[in-house]
Amino acid sequence: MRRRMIVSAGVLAFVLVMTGCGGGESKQGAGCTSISTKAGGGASNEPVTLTFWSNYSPGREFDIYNGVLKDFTKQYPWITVQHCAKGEDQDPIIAAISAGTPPDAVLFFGPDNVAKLCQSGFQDLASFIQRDNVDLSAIPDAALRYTSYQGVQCALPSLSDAYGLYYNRDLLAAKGFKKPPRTISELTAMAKKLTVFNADGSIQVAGFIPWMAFYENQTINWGLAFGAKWYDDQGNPAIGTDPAWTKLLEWQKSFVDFYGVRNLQQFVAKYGGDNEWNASQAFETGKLAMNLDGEWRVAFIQGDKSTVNYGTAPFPVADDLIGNYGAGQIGGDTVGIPVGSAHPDEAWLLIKYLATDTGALVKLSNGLGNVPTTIPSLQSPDVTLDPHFAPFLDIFVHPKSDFYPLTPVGEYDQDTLSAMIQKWQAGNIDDLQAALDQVDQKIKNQLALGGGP
Amino acid sequence: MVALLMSPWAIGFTVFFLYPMAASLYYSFTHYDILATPRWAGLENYRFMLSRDPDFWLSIRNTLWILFVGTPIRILFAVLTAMLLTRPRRGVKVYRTIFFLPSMVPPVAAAIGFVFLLNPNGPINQSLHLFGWHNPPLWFYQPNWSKWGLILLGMWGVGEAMIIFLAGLLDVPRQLYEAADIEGASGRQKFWHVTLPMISPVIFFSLVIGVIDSFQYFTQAYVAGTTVASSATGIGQPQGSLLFYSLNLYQQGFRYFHMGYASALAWVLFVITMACTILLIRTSTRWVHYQGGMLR
Repeated sequence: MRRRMIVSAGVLAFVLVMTGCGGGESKQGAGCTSISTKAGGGASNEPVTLTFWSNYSPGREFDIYNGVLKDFTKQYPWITVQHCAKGEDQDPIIAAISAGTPPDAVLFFGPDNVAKLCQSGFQDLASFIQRDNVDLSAIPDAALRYTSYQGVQCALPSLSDAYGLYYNRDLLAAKGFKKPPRTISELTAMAKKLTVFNADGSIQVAGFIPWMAFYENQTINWGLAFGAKWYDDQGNPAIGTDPAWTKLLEWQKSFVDFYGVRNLQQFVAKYGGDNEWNASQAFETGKLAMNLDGEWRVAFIQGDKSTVNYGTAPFPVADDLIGNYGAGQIGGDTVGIPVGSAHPDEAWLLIKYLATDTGALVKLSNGLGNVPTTIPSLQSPDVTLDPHFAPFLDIFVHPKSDFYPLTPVGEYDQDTLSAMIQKWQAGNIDDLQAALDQVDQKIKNQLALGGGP
Repeated sequence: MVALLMSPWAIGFTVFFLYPMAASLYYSFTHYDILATPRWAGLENYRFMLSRDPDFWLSIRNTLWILFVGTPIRILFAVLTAMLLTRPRRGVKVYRTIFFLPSMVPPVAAAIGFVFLLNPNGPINQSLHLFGWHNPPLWFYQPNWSKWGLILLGMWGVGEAMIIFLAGLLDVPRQLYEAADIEGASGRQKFWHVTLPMISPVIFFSLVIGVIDSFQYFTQAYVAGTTVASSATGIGQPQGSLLFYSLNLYQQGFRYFHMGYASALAWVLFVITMACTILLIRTSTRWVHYQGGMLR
């Protein structure tokens, strides 16, 4: 989940949480909160303390999450949940699982390591799902795909991101545009008209920034817009063999050249980096007319008190894939039970609650500003999110929306392709096909290094 | 009694040094992803490193650059700074403190500060604009300038090396300079034939430490890359120019969970570093001069 926090704010929040106090929650140790409901039934069950580690950091979102955990303990009063905020780094949690001292249940931001966890870190949930007759058809197929690997459903989704286009209504209207673009050609043409250069040639206002790794311009969502494949049916990397990648990169390079590499580098240096997460973000300040971003930006715009008059829509698709318009990249929190969990049955109750309980998902979605992950929660009248949020709910359920194929090499394939594109966009690659082939070879080598998928 | 007194060290050495070293040596011959049981792979990780991992050679090239360019510049700058600070003048203690202070700043904070200072729209480039350089370097956004940004950062934090050179310079016997003056030696001759030989043990020490630091170069490059990109995807960026050996090792071990391969990388790093250090020690007999004769 893309909920990054400024370090200082995180530290401050941490201090506040550690020194605060509240109802049925008690703070225990660094970043841990114990949540229970003393009153109520549960006479037939022995009291159980369930350790639950998440990628949250102490602060507002952690507290919202704990509110939902409190609801859980009301439903299961013999269970006390000890929720530990471990920060965004997944390594310590994976190390604990490896060391045989795992928590009972885990929530990870993002599905990048799900393949590896399904192989040996998380328990297969099939027996739990079968025993409780959990209706997985309530969860969109793509969300089930990014929480499973090779048929093993070792995790479940609980809230997701969805990516789409944010556009500045005023800037578009000033150039006579009444609707956001639906195709890449429209996006390019509109962006060029919306761009304003300074007298020295630098960018004053950008129509759209086609710079890899700037904000949410990443390989997954660009690849989806062009229908590009990561792997072929045999599981071999297909970046060098799928012409969609070449088409995407040739479009990107010509678009980059319209701005000029140096101009883009300066724009990125001015508005990129950590500025994505504060009020200096280019779209929020009116310096960027159209931007690819996640649903969380709606909450950021409110939080930053930006006055930008904006709309949201699905991200444009390649001209020959107009039938896919409405789809986008999705993917978010995954919950699972580590191998070695001391209380797997209670852990299952918790992750089932977080992944399938409509009330819990709606409450989390309203509080955190992310997309709920079941059909009933998506359709719930209790979802009270900003109207700008609506397109992201549609993107999440679109049949062509997806994450990308998971492999045991985690983010290596994304990182490698992204690194290659960063050379390409700067004009430092002459033979694109050779570079794409090399990306394939590197991924193939890494897959082989781990002993294969 | 001796064993009892030795036990705190012995236990610490075994648990925190000997066992991890032995374990990493074993893992370097296995496929090990942290979560699953290690599987014996023989020399596969080492073969992979040499023949099928282009990032290994890229990281070697970047590391050698920081070794052969960064280390000499840092030593030279430390010597020059120390020489300036040996000249008696008013307020010399204040100057020495000012030059030493940056080395007290934690490397992470210093690197973040330099990312800000060297931002293409930051104060350094704005100053360069004022001096007429209209297309100044984009530093951490440009592969051919990013390492120079780190060199500047290293020069700024040269205080520790500077203080050692300062001690070495102040330790040069005055009578050697007086004898040279009587013989009519020029300033340059005094530097080459008196100062330099007399501080050669300090240069040797700094060189060995500099070589080891270069092979382990990590924090500044990690912080610069990830701060510019605002995420871990920035490791080694821009365009792989900051992918140093230790960063590649870290990525393989903790980002892609190839802990067996990362262990192999760690052992190769250990062997290279040890070989370079031994080579330096062996060659030092030819150019390092100790007061009162050779120390062994």
